[in-house]
Amino acid sequence: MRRIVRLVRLEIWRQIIGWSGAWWFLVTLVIGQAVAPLLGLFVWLHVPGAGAQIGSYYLAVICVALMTASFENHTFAQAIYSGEVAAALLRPQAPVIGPLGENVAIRLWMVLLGIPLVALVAVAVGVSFAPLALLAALPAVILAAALRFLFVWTLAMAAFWTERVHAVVAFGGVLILLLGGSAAPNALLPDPLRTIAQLLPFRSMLGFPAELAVGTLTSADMAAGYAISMFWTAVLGCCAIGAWRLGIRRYSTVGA
Amino acid sequence: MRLLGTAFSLSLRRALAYRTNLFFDALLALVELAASVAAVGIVFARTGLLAGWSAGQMLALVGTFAFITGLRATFLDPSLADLSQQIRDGRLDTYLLQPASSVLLATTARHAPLALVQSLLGIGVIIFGLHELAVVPSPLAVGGWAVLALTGLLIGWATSVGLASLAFWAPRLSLGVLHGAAWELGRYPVDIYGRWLRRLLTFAFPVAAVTTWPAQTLTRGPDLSTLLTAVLLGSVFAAGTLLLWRRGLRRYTGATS
Repeated sequence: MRRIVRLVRLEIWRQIIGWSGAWWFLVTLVIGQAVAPLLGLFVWLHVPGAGAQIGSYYLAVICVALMTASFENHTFAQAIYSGEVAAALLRPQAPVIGPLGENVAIRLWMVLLGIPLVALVAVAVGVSFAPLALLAALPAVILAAALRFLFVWTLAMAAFWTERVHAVVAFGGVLILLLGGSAAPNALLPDPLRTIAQLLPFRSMLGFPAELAVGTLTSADMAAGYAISMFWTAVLGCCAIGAWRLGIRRYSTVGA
Repeated sequence: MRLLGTAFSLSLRRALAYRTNLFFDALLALVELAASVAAVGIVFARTGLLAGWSAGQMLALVGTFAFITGLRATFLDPSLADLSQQIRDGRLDTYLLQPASSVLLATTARHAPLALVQSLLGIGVIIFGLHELAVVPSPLAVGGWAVLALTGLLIGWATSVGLASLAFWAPRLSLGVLHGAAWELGRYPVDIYGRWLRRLLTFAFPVAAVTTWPAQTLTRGPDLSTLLTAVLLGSVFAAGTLLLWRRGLRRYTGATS
């Protein structure tokens, strides 16, 4: 276990160095991730009855989006298409370490480069967070980060079967946008959409940590949210392992 | 136009060879548009008006956005996706050697005909929105909408090519994602944004001319000053981009030099 942690740390460090030359591109990724929550913010600021906390909620959503952004359809799927996955298969380590390290490195850069944008939005909308609520949201952010990685990585493995991986991942992105809390906070969704969104994994990837940070949830809602997040993390973990095992059987590369 | 037609015909024949991809693209376009319509529905379940726009007017705007984005994805995006990369690695040489306008060849030669599905679905949403409003637009309003939509497409082309042309000066600069993010702001009327952002989205990156004004023209009737402003903006942006391209080409040294 200690060896795996060390390998992951090394991979993250290697990727941080690798991505340091692309800081301008990373800034555009930050803006790309923030635009959907910003749109939601602008819309709901015009809706009477959206609540006084709407600014804080969407700022939290922007932060969660930056901390959980996943681009495996560009990184990992391209490695499948180009045959680079073959090199990873030859290394004496779990194949997930490469994509995981790159994912975490990109997120760290995005959080760092996103600080000015977050500060600007915070000043513009006037936000307030209780330290205890932020503390309660921290485990949910970690679960959201794991969930989103597993979700996008699993979808990116569609590259083993089809060349339309971007369409597959974009489909997942639409679900996160609509049911995850970006288009509207869960509490403002009409029934039965609200209940459906609470049961599916997408809210756990974005809106649930933001709701916790704002402190709008009751203890029962918090417990239910955490239970759903953990359930879906386990399910998507199994899906990722299953997709990898099935996909790698189909995989062939130059010379294979 | 003949060049454009030939390129489209070739792309269409290539695309129709892969029926599964057609299914994927059509399904994704449908899901994305359904999500946009659902997002409008969620907002209007809580309010009757959004910054002065009713649900029907918003649907006309969402449909217009899908229509123009579909045209962009069909005729521009396949060429523009790696334009900066082509400038960087010297592949632009191919277009410079051909006896036609290099900017047109480099930015409109490749097409993705299957993305037209999005435009067709967009027209469906516009009709649905007009039905909700119980409005039959006059031929003048439809004409104004068409002119504004094409101007929006021209602005989309000009801003994309303009940003990609910066690669002549800064080869590592890749602003495609930034352009995509700014384009997304056209999903809603510019009236929802604050004063400064609204001005920015009217004159600096005229998203207003891309979706807000066409939808306004269709649902509230044509306005000559809006039409003229949009055409003027489109012309200025296109002229600026062509100038930038020409200046950039002077700096371009190609792959082999």
